[in-house]
Amino acid sequence: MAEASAGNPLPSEAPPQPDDLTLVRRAQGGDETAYDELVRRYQRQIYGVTYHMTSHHEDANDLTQEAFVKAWQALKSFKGDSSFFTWLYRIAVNRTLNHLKSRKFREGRHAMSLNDLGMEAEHHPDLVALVSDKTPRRAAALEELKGKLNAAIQRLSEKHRTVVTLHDIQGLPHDEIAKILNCNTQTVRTRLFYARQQLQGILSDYLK
Amino acid sequence: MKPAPQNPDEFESLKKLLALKRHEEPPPGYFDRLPGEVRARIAHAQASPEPWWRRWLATWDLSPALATSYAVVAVTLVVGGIWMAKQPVAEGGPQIVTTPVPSVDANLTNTIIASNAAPPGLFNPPSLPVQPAEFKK
Repeated sequence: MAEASAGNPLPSEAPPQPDDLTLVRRAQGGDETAYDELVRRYQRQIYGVTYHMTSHHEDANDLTQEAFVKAWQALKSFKGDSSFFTWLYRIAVNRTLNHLKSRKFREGRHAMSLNDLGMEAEHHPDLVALVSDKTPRRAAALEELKGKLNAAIQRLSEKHRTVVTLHDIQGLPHDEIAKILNCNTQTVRTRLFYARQQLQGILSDYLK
Repeated sequence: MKPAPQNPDEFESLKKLLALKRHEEPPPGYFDRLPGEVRARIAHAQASPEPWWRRWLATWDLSPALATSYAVVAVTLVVGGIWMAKQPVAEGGPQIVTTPVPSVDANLTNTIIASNAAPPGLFNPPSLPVQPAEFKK
Protein backbone atom coordinates (compact mmCIF):
# COMPACT_ATOMS: atom_id res chain seq x y z
CA MET A 1 0.00 0.00 0.00
CA ALA A 2 1.20 3.41 0.89
CA GLU A 3 4.55 2.12 2.04
CA ALA A 4 5.55 1.55 -1.52
CA SER A 5 4.46 5.00 -2.52
CA ALA A 6 6.68 6.67 -0.02
CA GLY A 7 9.71 5.43 -1.83
CA ASN A 8 11.37 4.47 1.41
CA PRO A 9 14.89 3.16 1.18
CA LEU A 10 14.92 -0.60 0.80
CA PRO A 11 17.43 -3.05 2.22
CA SER A 12 20.98 -2.45 1.03
CA GLU A 13 21.03 -5.31 -1.51
CA ALA A 14 18.07 -4.02 -3.47
CA PRO A 15 18.69 -1.31 -6.06
CA PRO A 16 17.10 2.00 -5.09
CA GLN A 17 13.60 2.29 -6.46
CA PRO A 18 12.46 5.58 -7.96
CA ASP A 19 9.61 7.13 -6.02
CA ASP A 20 6.12 7.49 -7.46
CA LEU A 21 6.48 11.10 -8.49
CA THR A 22 9.64 10.39 -10.47
CA LEU A 23 7.91 7.56 -12.28
CA VAL A 24 4.83 9.70 -12.89
CA ARG A 25 6.93 12.51 -14.40
CA ARG A 26 8.67 10.02 -16.66
CA ALA A 27 5.35 8.47 -17.65
CA GLN A 28 3.93 11.91 -18.37
CA GLY A 29 6.80 12.34 -20.78
CA GLY A 30 5.70 9.19 -22.59
CA ASP A 31 7.91 6.63 -20.86
CA GLU A 32 5.77 3.49 -20.88
CA THR A 33 8.21 1.44 -18.83
CA ALA A 34 7.83 3.94 -15.99
CA TYR A 35 4.07 3.49 -16.10
CA ASP A 36 4.59 -0.27 -16.22
CA GLU A 37 6.48 0.01 -12.97
CA LEU A 38 3.62 1.97 -11.40
CA VAL A 39 1.18 -0.72 -12.53
CA ARG A 40 3.35 -3.42 -10.98
CA ARG A 41 3.63 -1.41 -7.80
CA TYR A 42 -0.09 -0.96 -7.26
CA GLN A 43 -1.79 -3.79 -9.12
CA ARG A 44 -2.37 -5.87 -5.98
CA GLN A 45 -4.00 -3.01 -4.09
CA ILE A 46 -6.18 -1.95 -6.99
CA TYR A 47 -7.22 -5.51 -7.74
CA GLY A 48 -7.89 -5.98 -4.02
CA VAL A 49 -10.23 -3.04 -3.72
CA THR A 50 -12.18 -3.91 -6.87
CA TYR A 51 -12.36 -7.58 -5.90
CA HIS A 52 -13.57 -7.01 -2.36
CA MET A 53 -16.18 -4.53 -3.53
CA THR A 54 -17.54 -6.72 -6.33
CA SER A 55 -16.69 -10.18 -4.99
CA HIS A 56 -16.18 -11.29 -8.55
CA HIS A 57 -12.83 -12.02 -10.16
CA GLU A 58 -13.76 -11.20 -13.78
CA ASP A 59 -15.37 -7.90 -12.80
CA ALA A 60 -12.40 -7.06 -10.62
CA ASN A 61 -9.99 -7.87 -13.44
CA ASP A 62 -11.88 -5.67 -15.86
CA LEU A 63 -12.20 -2.79 -13.40
CA THR A 64 -8.53 -3.00 -12.47
CA GLN A 65 -7.45 -2.79 -16.10
CA GLU A 66 -9.90 0.04 -16.77
CA ALA A 67 -8.60 1.97 -13.78
CA PHE A 68 -5.01 1.74 -15.01
CA VAL A 69 -5.99 2.68 -18.57
CA LYS A 70 -8.00 5.67 -17.37
CA ALA A 71 -5.16 6.74 -15.12
CA TRP A 72 -2.76 6.61 -18.07
CA GLN A 73 -5.13 8.67 -20.21
CA ALA A 74 -5.58 11.23 -17.46
CA LEU A 75 -1.96 11.24 -16.37
CA LYS A 76 -1.29 14.62 -17.99
CA SER A 77 -3.85 16.16 -15.65
CA PHE A 78 -2.13 14.75 -12.56
CA LYS A 79 -0.56 17.75 -10.85
CA GLY A 80 0.65 16.04 -7.72
CA ASP A 81 -1.81 17.74 -5.35
CA SER A 82 -2.43 14.35 -3.81
CA SER A 83 -0.19 11.30 -3.95
CA PHE A 84 -0.35 9.15 -7.06
CA PHE A 85 -1.54 6.32 -4.83
CA THR A 86 -4.56 8.33 -3.61
CA TRP A 87 -5.34 9.58 -7.11
CA LEU A 88 -5.20 6.08 -8.60
CA TYR A 89 -7.31 4.64 -5.79
CA ARG A 90 -9.90 7.35 -6.35
CA ILE A 91 -10.20 6.37 -10.00
CA ALA A 92 -10.53 2.69 -9.13
CA VAL A 93 -13.09 3.24 -6.35
CA ASN A 94 -15.22 5.62 -8.44
CA ARG A 95 -15.21 3.26 -11.40
CA THR A 96 -16.17 0.37 -9.15
CA LEU A 97 -18.99 2.34 -7.54
CA ASN A 98 -20.28 3.33 -10.99
CA HIS A 99 -20.08 -0.29 -12.02
CA LEU A 100 -22.04 -1.39 -8.96
CA LYS A 101 -24.67 1.26 -9.52
CA SER A 102 -25.09 0.64 -13.22
CA ARG A 103 -25.60 -3.07 -12.92
CA LYS A 104 -27.80 -4.99 -10.59
CA PHE A 105 -25.94 -7.83 -9.13
CA ARG A 106 -27.03 -11.17 -10.36
CA GLU A 107 -27.31 -13.29 -7.28
CA GLY A 108 -25.91 -16.33 -8.96
CA ARG A 109 -22.64 -14.64 -9.81
CA HIS A 110 -21.67 -14.18 -6.23
CA ALA A 111 -19.81 -17.31 -5.72
CA MET A 112 -17.63 -15.01 -3.71
CA SER A 113 -15.33 -16.80 -1.55
CA LEU A 114 -12.57 -17.01 0.80
CA ASN A 115 -12.18 -20.33 -0.95
CA ASP A 116 -9.35 -18.67 -2.76
CA LEU A 117 -7.53 -18.33 0.51
CA GLY A 118 -4.25 -20.11 0.48
CA MET A 119 -3.52 -22.91 2.92
CA GLU A 120 -1.34 -20.52 4.84
CA ALA A 121 -4.27 -18.21 5.55
CA GLU A 122 -6.59 -21.06 6.45
CA HIS A 123 -4.23 -22.06 9.20
CA HIS A 124 -3.73 -18.48 10.30
CA PRO A 125 -3.97 -18.39 14.12
CA ASP A 126 -6.62 -15.69 14.06
CA LEU A 127 -8.95 -17.69 11.90
CA VAL A 128 -8.35 -20.93 13.75
CA ALA A 129 -8.99 -19.16 17.04
CA LEU A 130 -12.19 -17.62 15.80
CA VAL A 131 -13.57 -20.93 14.71
CA SER A 132 -12.35 -23.22 17.41
CA ASP A 133 -12.23 -21.09 20.54
CA LYS A 134 -14.51 -18.13 20.37
CA THR A 135 -17.64 -19.40 18.72
CA PRO A 136 -20.42 -21.06 20.64
CA ARG A 137 -20.80 -23.52 17.83
CA ARG A 138 -17.47 -25.23 17.98
CA ALA A 139 -18.48 -27.60 15.28
CA ALA A 140 -19.19 -24.79 12.85
CA ALA A 141 -17.33 -25.42 9.69
CA LEU A 142 -14.76 -23.00 8.42
CA GLU A 143 -16.54 -22.95 5.09
CA GLU A 144 -19.73 -21.81 6.73
CA LEU A 145 -17.95 -18.90 8.35
CA LYS A 146 -16.38 -17.87 5.07
CA GLY A 147 -19.71 -17.96 3.32
CA LYS A 148 -21.42 -16.01 6.06
CA LEU A 149 -18.73 -13.33 6.07
CA ASN A 150 -18.89 -12.78 2.33
CA ALA A 151 -22.68 -12.77 2.30
CA ALA A 152 -22.65 -10.25 5.13
CA ILE A 153 -20.26 -7.95 3.27
CA GLN A 154 -22.45 -8.06 0.19
CA ARG A 155 -25.44 -7.03 2.27
CA LEU A 156 -23.77 -3.74 3.16
CA SER A 157 -24.58 -0.66 1.14
CA GLU A 158 -21.94 0.38 -1.40
CA LYS A 159 -20.71 3.23 0.80
CA HIS A 160 -20.36 1.02 3.85
CA ARG A 161 -18.76 -1.78 1.87
CA THR A 162 -16.24 0.68 0.49
CA VAL A 163 -15.02 1.85 3.87
CA VAL A 164 -14.90 -1.67 5.27
CA THR A 165 -12.90 -2.78 2.24
CA LEU A 166 -10.49 0.12 2.42
CA HIS A 167 -10.00 0.11 6.18
CA ASP A 168 -10.66 -3.31 7.65
CA ILE A 169 -9.53 -5.38 4.70
CA GLN A 170 -6.90 -3.23 3.03
CA GLY A 171 -5.70 -1.46 6.13
CA LEU A 172 -5.78 2.13 4.87
CA PRO A 173 -5.93 4.84 7.55
CA HIS A 174 -9.05 6.99 7.97
CA ASP A 175 -7.51 10.16 6.58
CA GLU A 176 -6.30 8.38 3.45
CA ILE A 177 -9.79 6.95 2.91
CA ALA A 178 -11.28 10.41 3.40
CA LYS A 179 -9.01 11.76 0.65
CA ILE A 180 -9.93 8.91 -1.69
CA LEU A 181 -13.65 9.28 -1.10
CA ASN A 182 -13.49 13.06 -1.01
CA CYS A 183 -15.23 13.33 2.34
CA ASN A 184 -14.13 14.14 5.88
CA THR A 185 -12.58 11.74 8.35
CA GLN A 186 -15.61 11.80 10.64
CA THR A 187 -17.81 10.56 7.80
CA VAL A 188 -15.42 7.68 7.26
CA ARG A 189 -15.49 6.80 10.96
CA THR A 190 -19.27 6.98 11.08
CA ARG A 191 -19.73 4.78 8.04
CA LEU A 192 -17.22 2.34 9.41
CA PHE A 193 -19.01 2.14 12.73
CA TYR A 194 -22.37 1.38 11.17
CA ALA A 195 -20.87 -1.09 8.72
CA ARG A 196 -19.19 -2.99 11.53
CA GLN A 197 -22.31 -2.89 13.62
CA GLN A 198 -24.27 -4.41 10.78
CA LEU A 199 -21.67 -7.08 10.15
CA GLN A 200 -21.47 -7.83 13.84
CA GLY A 201 -25.22 -8.33 13.92
CA ILE A 202 -25.21 -10.67 10.97
CA LEU A 203 -22.25 -12.68 12.23
CA SER A 204 -23.13 -12.57 15.92
CA ASP A 205 -23.34 -16.35 16.22
CA TYR A 206 -19.81 -16.71 15.03
CA LEU A 207 -18.14 -13.88 16.85
CA LYS A 208 -19.15 -14.34 20.47
CA MET B 1 -26.02 11.30 13.58
CA LYS B 2 -23.00 10.44 15.67
CA PRO B 3 -22.06 6.86 16.36
CA ALA B 4 -22.11 5.67 19.92
CA PRO B 5 -18.77 5.70 21.70
CA GLN B 6 -16.76 2.80 20.38
CA ASN B 7 -15.31 0.19 22.63
CA PRO B 8 -11.90 -0.67 21.15
CA ASP B 9 -12.52 -4.38 21.69
CA GLU B 10 -16.08 -4.28 20.49
CA PHE B 11 -15.27 -5.25 16.94
CA GLU B 12 -11.96 -6.99 17.56
CA SER B 13 -13.05 -10.41 16.36
CA LEU B 14 -14.78 -8.97 13.36
CA LYS B 15 -11.72 -6.93 12.42
CA LYS B 16 -9.50 -9.99 12.65
CA LEU B 17 -11.86 -11.92 10.46
CA LEU B 18 -12.07 -9.16 7.87
CA ALA B 19 -8.31 -8.74 7.84
CA LEU B 20 -8.01 -12.35 6.75
CA LYS B 21 -9.60 -11.43 3.46
CA ARG B 22 -6.32 -9.75 2.56
CA HIS B 23 -4.97 -13.18 1.87
CA GLU B 24 -7.42 -13.84 -0.92
CA GLU B 25 -5.52 -14.23 -4.13
CA PRO B 26 -6.52 -14.28 -7.80
CA PRO B 27 -5.53 -17.29 -9.92
CA PRO B 28 -1.78 -18.00 -9.97
CA GLY B 29 0.22 -15.92 -12.44
CA TYR B 30 -2.47 -13.25 -12.65
CA PHE B 31 -0.24 -10.41 -11.51
CA ASP B 32 2.50 -11.46 -13.93
CA ARG B 33 0.09 -11.04 -16.83
CA LEU B 34 -1.75 -7.93 -15.71
CA PRO B 35 0.83 -5.25 -16.70
CA GLY B 36 0.98 -6.72 -20.21
CA GLU B 37 -2.79 -6.71 -20.49
CA VAL B 38 -2.94 -3.11 -19.31
CA ARG B 39 -0.31 -2.15 -21.90
CA ALA B 40 -2.31 -3.89 -24.64
CA ARG B 41 -5.47 -2.04 -23.63
CA ILE B 42 -3.65 1.28 -23.62
CA ALA B 43 -2.27 0.56 -27.10
CA HIS B 44 -5.75 -0.38 -28.30
CA ALA B 45 -7.23 2.76 -26.81
CA GLN B 46 -4.58 4.88 -28.52
CA ALA B 47 -5.15 3.16 -31.86
CA SER B 48 -8.89 3.71 -31.76
CA PRO B 49 -9.56 6.75 -29.60
CA GLU B 50 -12.93 7.03 -27.97
CA PRO B 51 -15.41 9.67 -29.13
CA TRP B 52 -15.24 12.97 -27.27
CA TRP B 53 -18.41 12.33 -25.24
CA ARG B 54 -17.02 9.08 -23.87
CA ARG B 55 -13.84 10.84 -22.78
CA TRP B 56 -15.99 13.56 -21.25
CA LEU B 57 -18.00 10.98 -19.33
CA ALA B 58 -14.76 9.35 -18.21
CA THR B 59 -13.68 12.59 -16.54
CA TRP B 60 -16.58 12.07 -14.15
CA ASP B 61 -14.69 9.18 -12.61
CA LEU B 62 -11.93 11.54 -11.65
CA SER B 63 -14.19 14.19 -10.26
CA PRO B 64 -17.51 13.21 -8.73
CA ALA B 65 -18.02 16.88 -7.82
CA LEU B 66 -17.86 17.78 -11.49
CA ALA B 67 -20.35 15.05 -12.32
CA THR B 68 -22.67 16.32 -9.59
CA SER B 69 -22.48 19.88 -10.88
CA TYR B 70 -23.31 18.72 -14.43
CA ALA B 71 -26.26 16.78 -13.05
CA VAL B 72 -27.51 19.77 -11.07
CA VAL B 73 -27.31 22.05 -14.11
CA ALA B 74 -29.04 19.46 -16.32
CA VAL B 75 -31.85 18.86 -13.83
CA THR B 76 -32.32 22.61 -13.29
CA LEU B 77 -32.61 23.18 -17.03
CA VAL B 78 -35.10 20.36 -17.49
CA VAL B 79 -37.25 21.30 -14.49
CA GLY B 80 -37.08 24.98 -15.43
CA GLY B 81 -38.07 24.19 -19.00
CA ILE B 82 -41.03 22.09 -17.92
CA TRP B 83 -42.15 24.75 -15.46
CA MET B 84 -41.94 27.48 -18.08
CA ALA B 85 -43.83 25.38 -20.59
CA LYS B 86 -46.65 24.73 -18.14
CA GLN B 87 -47.16 28.38 -17.21
CA PRO B 88 -50.56 29.67 -18.51
CA VAL B 89 -50.45 32.82 -20.62
CA ALA B 90 -51.28 35.68 -18.28
CA GLU B 91 -54.08 38.07 -19.28
CA GLY B 92 -51.99 41.09 -18.63
CA GLY B 93 -49.08 39.56 -20.44
CA PRO B 94 -47.45 40.83 -23.57
CA GLN B 95 -49.72 40.93 -26.57
CA ILE B 96 -49.20 41.74 -30.18
CA VAL B 97 -50.64 45.14 -30.87
CA THR B 98 -52.10 45.72 -34.30
CA THR B 99 -53.18 49.05 -35.67
CA PRO B 100 -55.84 49.32 -38.31
CA VAL B 101 -54.59 50.22 -41.75
CA PRO B 102 -55.91 53.67 -42.71
CA SER B 103 -58.01 53.79 -45.82
CA VAL B 104 -56.21 55.21 -48.81
CA ASP B 105 -57.64 58.17 -50.57
CA ALA B 106 -57.77 57.57 -54.31
CA ASN B 107 -56.56 61.11 -54.96
CA LEU B 108 -53.39 60.50 -53.06
CA THR B 109 -52.33 57.48 -55.07
CA ASN B 110 -49.91 59.44 -57.17
CA THR B 111 -48.42 61.06 -54.17
CA ILE B 112 -47.94 57.68 -52.52
CA ILE B 113 -46.31 56.26 -55.60
CA ALA B 114 -44.16 59.29 -55.83
CA SER B 115 -43.16 58.86 -52.25
CA ASN B 116 -42.14 55.28 -52.96
CA ALA B 117 -39.35 56.51 -55.16
CA ALA B 118 -35.96 55.97 -53.74
CA PRO B 119 -34.65 59.01 -51.92
CA PRO B 120 -31.68 60.76 -53.43
CA GLY B 121 -28.40 59.55 -52.13
CA LEU B 122 -24.93 58.43 -53.08
CA PHE B 123 -26.15 55.79 -55.53
CA ASN B 124 -29.14 57.73 -56.60
CA PRO B 125 -27.99 61.28 -57.28
CA PRO B 126 -30.78 63.83 -57.55
CA SER B 127 -31.64 64.66 -61.10
CA LEU B 128 -31.15 68.30 -61.80
CA PRO B 129 -33.35 70.00 -64.32
CA VAL B 130 -31.28 70.65 -67.41
CA GLN B 131 -32.27 73.39 -69.71
CA PRO B 132 -30.84 73.82 -73.15
CA ALA B 133 -28.25 76.51 -73.24
CA GLU B 134 -28.90 79.53 -75.23
CA PHE B 135 -26.02 81.30 -76.92
CA LYS B 136 -26.30 84.95 -77.48
CA LYS B 137 -25.22 86.05 -80.81
